[in-house]
Amino acid sequence: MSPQRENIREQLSAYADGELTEAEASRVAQALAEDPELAAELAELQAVRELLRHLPRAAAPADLAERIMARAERGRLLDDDAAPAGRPAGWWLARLATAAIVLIAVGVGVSVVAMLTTPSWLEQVDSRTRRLPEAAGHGEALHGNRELAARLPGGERLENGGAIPSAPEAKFDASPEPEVPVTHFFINTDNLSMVQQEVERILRENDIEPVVQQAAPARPAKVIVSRGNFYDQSQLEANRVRFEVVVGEGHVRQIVQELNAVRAKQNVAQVPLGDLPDLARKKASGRDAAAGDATILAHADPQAETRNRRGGRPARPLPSKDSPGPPRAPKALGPAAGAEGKASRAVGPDPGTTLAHKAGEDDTTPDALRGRGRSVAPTTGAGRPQPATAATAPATAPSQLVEVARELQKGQDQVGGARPSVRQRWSQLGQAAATQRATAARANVRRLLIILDAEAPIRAPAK
Amino acid sequence: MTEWTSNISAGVNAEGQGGPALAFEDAVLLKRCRDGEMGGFAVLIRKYQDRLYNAILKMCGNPDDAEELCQEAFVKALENLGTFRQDSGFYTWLFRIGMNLTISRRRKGGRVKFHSLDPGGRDDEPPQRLRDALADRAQRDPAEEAAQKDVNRRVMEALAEVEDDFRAVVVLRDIEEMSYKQISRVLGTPVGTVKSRLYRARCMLKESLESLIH
Repeated sequence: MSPQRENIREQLSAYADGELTEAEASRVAQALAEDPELAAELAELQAVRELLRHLPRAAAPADLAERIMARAERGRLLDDDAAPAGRPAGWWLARLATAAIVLIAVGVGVSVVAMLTTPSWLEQVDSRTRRLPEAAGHGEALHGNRELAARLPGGERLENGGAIPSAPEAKFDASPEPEVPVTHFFINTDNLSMVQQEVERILRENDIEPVVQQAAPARPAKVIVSRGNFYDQSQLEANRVRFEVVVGEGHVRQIVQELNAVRAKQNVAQVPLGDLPDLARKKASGRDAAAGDATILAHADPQAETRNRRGGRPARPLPSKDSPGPPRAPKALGPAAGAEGKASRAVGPDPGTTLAHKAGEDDTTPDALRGRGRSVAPTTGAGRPQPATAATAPATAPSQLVEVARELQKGQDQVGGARPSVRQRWSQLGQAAATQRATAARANVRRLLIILDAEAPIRAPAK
Repeated sequence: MTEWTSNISAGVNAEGQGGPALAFEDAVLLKRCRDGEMGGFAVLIRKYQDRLYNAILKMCGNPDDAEELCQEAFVKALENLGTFRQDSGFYTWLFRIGMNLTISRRRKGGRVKFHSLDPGGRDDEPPQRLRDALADRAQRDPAEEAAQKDVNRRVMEALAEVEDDFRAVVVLRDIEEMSYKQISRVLGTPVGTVKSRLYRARCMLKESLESLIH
């Protein structure tokens, strides 16, 4: 076979495809006309081409696009490297946001909504500790617990770093049900049935149906609170009426105002729990809280001391390491309640037995305490009174919380470091997103727990 | 579903036949991607997924491997979108990624192996061409249909025997119907090489399929 003919043969395929120049095509055409073998070979090549062209075309799986997007996103999450050079600024950020929308739209069930939206570990600590007082009716202990958690070793790091450990979450926060914000409102009363009727009237007038209403005790017992005589939980529950309602965020304020009016008529103390850190400080100072002393843990406030002195009674020294104060306090003292100027006191074996309402909402003022020998709370920046810190809780209450928090810390340490792997984060994204959505859906709803406690009237001591 | 996505779902192809061409243009879709709108890339996927999948399936012969390689190709394209200069067209660039992945995987002796002789891919998803010919099929003789299926199987078997580099050229030309120039860009080889490889590949197939041709 001549080289020229071989060259023509190699061009047969391109000739059949129309990929030759005019000059080349004319040369091939001329050769084909002269050489039947070449023409037969061309026909065979064309037949092969037709066989290939008639192969059925396969369609990609219907959900291929969704799977590709999910895979791309997964790859992105597993890739902690920086964006390659040449990529426009913000490319990945924009890509993540849009991909999240795409994935949600196709029901992949994961979200790239910022990993940081997963509840931080510190919040889980708070969430966990929140349940303890709530279970015992100690809603006011929240702030104290938050501070306590913040004091834990590594607490700052956790708060700032936003670590998302998986094991503690699985262990302590297994329920995906988002928590609805809770407002606690406590009323101490020496006439439980009357206050109960008042609360029922308020709810009725506001067209609110209680979700839960614990039956009133058949025979409310009055518990005389004094030094060495503390509630225990059974006593507390036997003298307690609980209402639970779910109301809109804007409605809570109105309800609380009306409840405040009811509470103001009571002649028993409405004393905040007191800050747990102060309880811890008390414990650290060597005082034996478990012994049952009713003590005051007031903040250092020179003005308060001055006021106390003017009232004719020496100010109580503040417990501290240097000056732990008298070994036994005379009574559990706190701000007075109501315009009648009734004396107040707050006692309890644990945080829950000291009933409280929020600082600033009380009608308790330092002036109301003036001259009665009560320790008063320090005023804050705006001059508003802050509830006196009164506590007689045994050391077990804060120590339990400390233990819980340490347990959580320990759990996190066992996970293997402060920062979980990207794979762990990925596995949490779906749950985090679902929780976030559910929480958002309930953003305007609040649980209001109204707790009425029967308590003996406390009269102001004679001057 | 918007008009253009429904058109895409309905199979309107990249060249904008019967659809709003502006929305289909790769440059427009790529710009949307670069602006952070991932919906643009989703449209690109839908636009080319069938063609790429089919080509890869003809290269590797296995639907599962084809799907995996197809996914990988799109993901790689997405990851490297910032470096894509658009001088060769997204379609060509995408196929280059897909073909390189497939050939590379086969050379490494990876999982991609011919173990399915079904040219149509999945049993539960009839090929597009077959779907298009449903009316004809209804009138077809079952024996004829079986014979056609046998022909397709033998063609696929013959194709599997061709070396990767040669098979890629045949697939891109006779199945994907690319021009020699496009094949050259996809495979990164001169047009002359494409021409000679195609001729040799067809010659190999001609010998394997001699009984079908004559």
